[in-house]
Amino acid sequence: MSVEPEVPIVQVEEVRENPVLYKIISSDNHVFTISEHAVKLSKTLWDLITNLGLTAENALDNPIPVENVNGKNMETIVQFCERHKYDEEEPEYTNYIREFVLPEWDRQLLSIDNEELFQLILATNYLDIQKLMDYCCRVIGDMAKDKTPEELRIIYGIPTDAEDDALERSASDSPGPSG
Amino acid sequence: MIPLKLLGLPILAIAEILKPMDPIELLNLSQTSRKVSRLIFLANTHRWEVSFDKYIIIHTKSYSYKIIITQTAKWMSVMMTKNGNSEAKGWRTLYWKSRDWISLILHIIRVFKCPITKIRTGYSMNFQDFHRVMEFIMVRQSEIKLLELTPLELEEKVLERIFKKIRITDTLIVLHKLSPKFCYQNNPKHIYIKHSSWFGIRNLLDSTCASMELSWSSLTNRHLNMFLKKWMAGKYPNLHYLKISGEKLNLKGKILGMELPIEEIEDPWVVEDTIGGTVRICDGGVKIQRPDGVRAYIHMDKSEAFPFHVKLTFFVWK
Repeated sequence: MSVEPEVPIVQVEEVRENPVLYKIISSDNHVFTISEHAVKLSKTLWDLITNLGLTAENALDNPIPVENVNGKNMETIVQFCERHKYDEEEPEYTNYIREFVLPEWDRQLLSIDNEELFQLILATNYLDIQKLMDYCCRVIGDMAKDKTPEELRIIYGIPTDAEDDALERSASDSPGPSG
Repeated sequence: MIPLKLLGLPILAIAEILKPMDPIELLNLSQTSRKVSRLIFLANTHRWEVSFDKYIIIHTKSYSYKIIITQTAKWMSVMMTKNGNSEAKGWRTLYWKSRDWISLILHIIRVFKCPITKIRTGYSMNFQDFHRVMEFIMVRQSEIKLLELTPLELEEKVLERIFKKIRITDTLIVLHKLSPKFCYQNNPKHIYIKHSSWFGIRNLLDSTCASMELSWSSLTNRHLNMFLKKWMAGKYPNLHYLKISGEKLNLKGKILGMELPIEEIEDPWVVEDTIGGTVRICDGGVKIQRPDGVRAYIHMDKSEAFPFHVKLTFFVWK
């Protein structure tokens, strides 16, 4: 026979207020809606919102154009920010060597080809989203595991010293602006 | 597969990519090009330390990477251990085309911009290697924590210059036999000199060490008396342990007014402490006390190791 506990167990439901939403337009004119908590992960966007004086009342009527980020990357970024909007602030890493484990959901999100990943990092850098930057960089850093220098050169598209020297020579040989 | 053009990324992103990499991945990456090797320090590698002790060891905050030197293969195995634990936590492979492993040490210091903190020359490093490493680090750093010199075909003038330019902050171990003319200028916390006949009374009186062990010493009873009287008068506040043995010491006369040999027979005590990472013991010492209340144990008798040698052990109670 089960015994009723003296203290009742209360099922705590997460209380979510009606979110304030903002509209973002990517460089190729795709429109995205993002919640206030999520957009705060981007320092650039949040500074913009604050400076433009956008409020709950006028936010949806004033879409924010982001010229440096295309729709594909913006979709990934919005997904990421919505997923992580309630995350607790993380302590600053003091010992960087793989101190955190990349969550599986994020690893899946970032399983994209190298060109897309490259563009996503540029977008993340522009929008100043530290957590996404950490995660993208982690994915790129993980490519170096157990690789020879030659393999690393191919993976990261690194020119050889001879190629760098040739490039430098051709740059110095080419006539300057005065002809 | 399209490469991910690392060097096309903003410098902040490159730094974030490098930071989670371990030292071995960074060293492999540093060999892809000169341009890349100049960026490796962005991973905050200056916080790491390198030491040489049969292996090249890179110490990070939590882990150490022990590079096992091989002179035949184009790669080296690296054992990763958690600091404070000798058990292997993992293995890495470092690719290094050159057979010149000294150039690997120099490469590590150059790309990581970190100090080399300990060198034990051992049997893997000859004097030319040692000289090459020291010349390289002398322009980069002014001190080193530990230096251990095993017998080497060394030039004393070069060594004197090294001692002048690089301060040894923690421990100096000299197993090499230096000539009596050797001029020593340094003041580490702990010294062990196996053939210490060159370490004269001036060196002893000028020392500020916490522990000193001098074997095959040329010091005499008169020298010991001079030094210990100064200690009694309050000098050498750092001194914790002193052990001197040599054939010029004898059991005739007195030390600090005490008849020789000095040994507590009635109620012998064993005092011990870990000093500079080594357990130091004084067994059967006679307790003495300075006017300011500082106590010490002194023992002086025949050396067990060499029949014609006499050994003094002096242990300050801290």
